[in-house]
Order: sequence, then structure tokens, then C-alpha cells
Amino acid sequence: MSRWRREVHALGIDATHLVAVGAAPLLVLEPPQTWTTEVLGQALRPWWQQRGRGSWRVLVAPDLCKHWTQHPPAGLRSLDELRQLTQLQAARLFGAQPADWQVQADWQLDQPFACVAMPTALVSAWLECAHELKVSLQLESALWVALRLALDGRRAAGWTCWSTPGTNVMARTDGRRVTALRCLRHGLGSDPDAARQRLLADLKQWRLVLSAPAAEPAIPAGQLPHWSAHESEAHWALQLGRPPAVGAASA
Amino acid sequence: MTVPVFDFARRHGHWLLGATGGRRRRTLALLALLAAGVVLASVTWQVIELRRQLQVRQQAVRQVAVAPVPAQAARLHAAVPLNEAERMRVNRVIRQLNTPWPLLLGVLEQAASPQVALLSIEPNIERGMVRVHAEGSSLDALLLHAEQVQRSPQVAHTLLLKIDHETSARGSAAPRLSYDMVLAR
Repeated sequence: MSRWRREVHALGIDATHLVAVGAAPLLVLEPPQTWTTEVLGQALRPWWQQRGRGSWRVLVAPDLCKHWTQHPPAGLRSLDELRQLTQLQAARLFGAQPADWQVQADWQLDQPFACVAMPTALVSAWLECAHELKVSLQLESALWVALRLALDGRRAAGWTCWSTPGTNVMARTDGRRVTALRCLRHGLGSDPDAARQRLLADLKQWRLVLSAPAAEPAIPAGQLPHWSAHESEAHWALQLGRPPAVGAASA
Repeated sequence: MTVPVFDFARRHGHWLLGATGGRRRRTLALLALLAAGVVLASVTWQVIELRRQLQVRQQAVRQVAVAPVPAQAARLHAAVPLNEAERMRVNRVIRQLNTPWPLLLGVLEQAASPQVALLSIEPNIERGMVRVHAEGSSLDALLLHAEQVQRSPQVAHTLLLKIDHETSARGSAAPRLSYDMVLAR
């Protein structure tokens, strides 16, 4: 590690697991316990005392961080309206109140665009912990990081899809941006092969729904990490924060 | 294609010169802000100082314009009337300054000889005469010198004052002659 570049410590988090590179799970929650500033702080303080330098890159698994594509309505007067609309949509799709979701998106006014929503409470908890421990923080969606790995630099239109220990992900691109994104919980974490079979079936069904042409090519999700049975989503997310050199796992 | 980066830790926007994360960035941003403030204060101070100097100079120019030089000169002229004694003193100084040295020296040069040395020339212009002290190898040479001076057309006459041939008093054997040379008008 260069003495001039800040060391980045990757962390993965899902609904019940908080994991870091080179360590046993920092904390495993028992439902219905949820992530709060106190819970996160108790898990992170002893781990960070052993390191104490660098920054955090936190990858949030798809069971906590939600994704969808938004169709912008006509007659919008400002980006703020569009932002409020996506918060309403997050509340409608995933529950809770609009203010309980932080939304970031590839904002478009004339075509569908991809949205990423993270619970406000989770974002606040991480920010407060980072502030308390005086560490710089990146808080990202693991699924969106995987999408960047799969599509960044590619110009071809088509489909890409993969499965994580808890979610099947399908994305469609026109070569310039993501035009459709669908994430389905599969509940087959103990059987990776079954999860992939489910993914193919889901993809076939969704292409029919979208009336996608049969000739539209599949884009291999080249550098995404493998996962094995009973692996948590947090572990899968954590592998995206590591340097490259993980195996391919395209669907 | 380029997939955008979504970092939820930066959702609060750019609060200070784009510094949203990290103490080092905030410190650098604050230092940049402080440096900009110092530069701004310095420029402002210079502008204020230049404006003050400009006002001072404009005031000086206005004062000079209000009291012009010719008026001052006229006031001085009218303020000092000369009395008789002062007028005579001024005239004396003027006459002293107007001594006709070329004429005087020309007369003495024409009467010069190797046997006579001039010791002093004291013009008394008020009386229109010059007192000359001369030393010669002999009394005859001195008298011849006085006669030649008197023959000059610029000289009205000469008036012998004193002949000093007493060697014991001065310690010198050469005689001396003092005479007044009255210039022709």
C-alpha cells in the first residue's frame, strides 16, 4: 500500500450480517434487530481500533438497498419533483414512508432511468459512525457496483444478468445507459444452481413482458464474484470491494 | 457506456468548495478559503489606500488652483515699501555688483611692468574710484606705473596716497605705493 494513498477498507452489509475483509463477521443480527448507529458502532469500534487508518468502502447488499427503473411522467417542473416522485415510488414498492428512503438515480426526463434507494436510517447510522470514528466513508449499492463492473466501457446493447445469494438481477442496456433493471428475491441461497435456473426463467418471462426482440444479445457479467451455498449477501457484496481477480460468474 | 457512481455518503451536497468527505479535504478547502480571504482583504486595503492618496493629491491641486502664483507675487510687491536708507543700501549693493571689472583690469594691464607688482585692488564704486596698492623694485618704477595709469583714457586722474620705502617696518627692501584711480565717467 502506498504511503501517499489512503488505504480503503471494504465492508459488506446485508440485513443481518456485517463483514470485513480478513475478519470473521463483525456482527450477525438476530431478527427483528435492525442496523442502528449504536449497533453499528459496537461492531465497528473494536475492529477499527486494530486498523485506525484509511477509509471505508461499504457495499450494501440488495436485500437492504433497492433498485428499479422509473418512468418519468410528463409535466414535471423541477428535478426536485422528480426526486420526490422516486421517493414515493420507493415507499410504494418497498414499504415505509417516502422520507425513509434516500434515492440516487441516473436522472432522465424523457426516458426510463435506473434508481437506487437506500434506507435513510441505514445511511444516517453509517454517517454518524464514520463521523464518530473520524473516517472517510463511501456508501454504495453492491448491486450497482456489480452492474458497473459488468457494463462500464461496453457499447453494445443487450441484457446482462446474474444471481447473488439472495437476489436475481436482470439489466437491459441500450449501449448508453441502463434502460431496465429488475431484482427478484429467489430464496435459494442454499442452492446456487437452482438460483441460476430461476434466473433464466425470470429473464425469459421478463423479456416477454417488455416485448424485447429475441435477437437482443446477452452481455457476460465477466468479473462478478462467485457465491456458494449458505453464503450471506454481505459476503458476496464484500467481494466486490476487493481488488479484481475473482472468477467469472455470468448467467 | 459509463455507469454513474452512486455514493450515498455524499448525499448532502458540496458545502465548501466541493469538500464533502474527509478531514483533509475540509482542511484544504478551509485553507483555500482563508487564502482567498487574505488576498481579497489585501486588494481591498490597497484600493482604499490608493483612493485616499488620490483624494489628498486632488485636494492639493485644488488648493494650488485657488491661490495662483501671480496673485501671491502682487501681494508681496505691494506689501514691502522701501525707505530712504534701504533704498540707498540696495543701490549700493547694485553698484557693487555692477563694478566694471573688465575696464579696470584692462587699465591696470596696460600699465603693467616687470618691476611693479600689484598687491591689492579695492574698488569704491560709490565714489567712482579704485584704491591700488603696488610694490616695485624701485620708487621710480612705481611712479612710472602710476603715470602710465593716469595716461589711460578711461581714467580721469590718479591720486597718490602713500609711498612706503621704510624697509625696517616691513622687513622688505622693495618700496610700496598706494594710489586712488578715479575712473572717467
